[in-house]
Amino acid sequence: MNGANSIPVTIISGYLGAGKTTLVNNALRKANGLKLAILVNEFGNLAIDEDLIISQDENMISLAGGCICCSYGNDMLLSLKELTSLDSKPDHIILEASGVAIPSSIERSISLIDDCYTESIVSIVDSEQIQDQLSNKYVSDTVLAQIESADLIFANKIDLIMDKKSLLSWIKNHYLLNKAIMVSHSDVELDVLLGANRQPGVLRDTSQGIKVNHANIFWSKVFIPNDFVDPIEFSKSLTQQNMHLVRAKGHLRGIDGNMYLLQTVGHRYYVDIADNEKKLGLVLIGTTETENLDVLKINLKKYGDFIY
Amino acid sequence: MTIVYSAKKIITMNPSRPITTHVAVRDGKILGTGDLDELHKWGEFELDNSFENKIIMPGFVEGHAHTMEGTLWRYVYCGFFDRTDPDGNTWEGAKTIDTVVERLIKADKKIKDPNAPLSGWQLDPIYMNNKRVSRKDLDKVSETRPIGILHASGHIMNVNSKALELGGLMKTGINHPGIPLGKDGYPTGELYGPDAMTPIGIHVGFNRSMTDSDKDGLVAFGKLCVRTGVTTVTDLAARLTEEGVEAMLQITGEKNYPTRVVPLKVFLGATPKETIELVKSLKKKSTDRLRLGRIKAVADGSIQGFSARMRWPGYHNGAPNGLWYTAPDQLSELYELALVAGIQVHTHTNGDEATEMALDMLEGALKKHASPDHRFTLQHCQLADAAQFRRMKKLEMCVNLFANHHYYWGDEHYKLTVGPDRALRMNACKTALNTGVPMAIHSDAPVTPLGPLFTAWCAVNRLTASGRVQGEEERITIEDAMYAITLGAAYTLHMDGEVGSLETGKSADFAILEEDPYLCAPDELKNIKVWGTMQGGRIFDAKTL
Repeated sequence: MNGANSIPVTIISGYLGAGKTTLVNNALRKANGLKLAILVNEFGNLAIDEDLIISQDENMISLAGGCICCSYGNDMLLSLKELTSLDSKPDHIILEASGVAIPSSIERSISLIDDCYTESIVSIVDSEQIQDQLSNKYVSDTVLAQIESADLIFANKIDLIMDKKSLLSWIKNHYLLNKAIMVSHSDVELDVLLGANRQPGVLRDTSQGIKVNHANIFWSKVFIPNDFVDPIEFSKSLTQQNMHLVRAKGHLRGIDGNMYLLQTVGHRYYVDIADNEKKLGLVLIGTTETENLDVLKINLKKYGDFIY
Repeated sequence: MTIVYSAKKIITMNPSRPITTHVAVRDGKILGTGDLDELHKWGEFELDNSFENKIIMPGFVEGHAHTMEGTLWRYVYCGFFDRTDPDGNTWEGAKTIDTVVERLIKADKKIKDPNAPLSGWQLDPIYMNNKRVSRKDLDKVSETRPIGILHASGHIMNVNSKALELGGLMKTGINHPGIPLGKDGYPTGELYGPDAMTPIGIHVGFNRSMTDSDKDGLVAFGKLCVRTGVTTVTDLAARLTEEGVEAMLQITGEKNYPTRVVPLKVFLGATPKETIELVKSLKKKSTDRLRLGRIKAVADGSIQGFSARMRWPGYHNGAPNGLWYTAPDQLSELYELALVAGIQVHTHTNGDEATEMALDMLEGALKKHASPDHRFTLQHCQLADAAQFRRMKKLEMCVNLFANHHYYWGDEHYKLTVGPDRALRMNACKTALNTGVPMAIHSDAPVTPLGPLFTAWCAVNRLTASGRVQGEEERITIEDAMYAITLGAAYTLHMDGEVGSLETGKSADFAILEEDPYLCAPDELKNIKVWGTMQGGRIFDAKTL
């Protein structure tokens, strides 16, 4: 498991033009006090407002609020290593993979570095192009590998799709539904992209989500677990497909009396010993695809209850 | 002042006067060739007979090498084959792992600091019955200092326990395809691929600037060029940082620097647009001996590393298809912008699918921006078939084939990676020439040793390391091979108007040889001794470097 000081890394993968850079730009704009470190292959189209830039050299841009952007060129691992040994450690690292990188192999490489761990692999696809890309003679296997190794798939540019129903059923036929989320303009709530980084007490029920252009709307709920829950068993329940959960993150007290940090994204989950002082409770994030919240409540009943 | 050099024979590559006895040099350029009577017509000259028993050829042009070979020689040579270092010492090949270890122990004793790293290079267990080297072998050398040995392919590294410890990998439970584990659950010390090598590499002297040649490395590389008759050499994937360019300008600008260096900016870590802008500005900094302003793109990986992109039926041993290093759309954008800007792009393609992709992307770009005489070049291009060479011809491309590779790894390709049929057509020099594709051949030093005469020998004989002729139909004549290492390579760099042949007005660049390559038996080509070079009228004797 990951040490308490280990920095979570979210890998953003996707072929050229899918919207990775826009996603990263949006994350920076929404950081809101969270110290993000962004690793990109090249600065290229990274649109950073000039008044936010505190300093800049060839490989690093420092931003107001403690966020930084680094370009890694030909040495992703070394750049990552440098990030984890900074005096002022980032809260979260977002790694924008190159358009032809296979994220699962990036994940394996990250496993070689102490002090950080892969929190999730997010693949973003261009909903208009994806069917063509998956039959393109050169890139189909690469794009497929990017999708298959993802914990979450953002079907981006959904606003450009006339027949959303048929795209949705196509995605359903090809990929597990709870992995695929429809978005437009790479606009994703930070909690959905990175997991809830705030304490449950602070978070409000954010059903307002994103309502533009028929994108999926997210909801988040606070769940208070009973005392003495088996964290692994609970994680497995949360990640079952019929739960339609996007993410879950928070603290619970295990059977052995220890406090645990639990995180899930798609089918992936982490359990880690946590500080005993942590406040009990998890933030669960789903989309309106979750047809009936009652089903969720019933399924999770033996572990606790929602407070909202 | 004019100096006329006499020689036993001068091979000019000038179609109007292919063979002669004298060459006149003024201001670093060739004033003329011919006999003394003809040269007298230029007025007074000084006659220099130092080369009267030598053969003079146009200085060789190496179209695909990396100046980092100069840097690597400060590490311990662990290769299987004999190899000559920049100072002219020939290192005997290490035939067993024990020999490698003995050699490292000797080097270890010379380093006073017990914690300083020890680095080696060019190990290749393929020739040692594929017996793997383990960290325990290297622990015999030292348990206190980190040790790392880079393999000949550049894609594998062996390290000792101390190096693993410093990199945080001396532990059980590692799950990574590039890090094999021993029975005890700890890494064996073999590291495959850059991701596995990087965290340890920085502790054993191989870091991210490894591919850059530093000042001393560049000086050492210049010496290797003289010893092998090379007067123009590419540095085919340079990062070209501001600092790096300054260092290159300084070193190549020194009065006695013997070689013209042509570094290509590697397309990596910047957008096509940024890369073009950078290279356009670099181009203006060019000097006579440092030619900036070209781009190298990398489409796929390597065949023996199973990272090359293959068309059906893929790898002979069933390994999954390789990886794109550059996305097709990105390459297409780069090609378009480069054609518009008049910047030349050389593209590394190893697998035949990568070659096909590069051809498709360039064809599309050329339809939008027709560019006569672009000379975009495919580098390595090892598995191209006849139809792909026909497309190269139609698209007016050049090719630079990896003749040396055939000798060193041909047997492996035949048995393991691509199988007999495709191994026979690897680096198909004859097909390229028959099709009319302008062709060069290369060493990819340090992957294989720099030495155009050896490269020519490889293309002429197509022998593999085990002594088999592999693909006899693709053998070329000595004449064709000598053309490929002079004018052929110069053409791929748009430099055939100034180097590659001995003609009035061109640079006075000679390879000065002890014997005549045109008169030797084809299998003797690699044994021809190089006396030294002349570059821009300056004489460099290999013995007194």
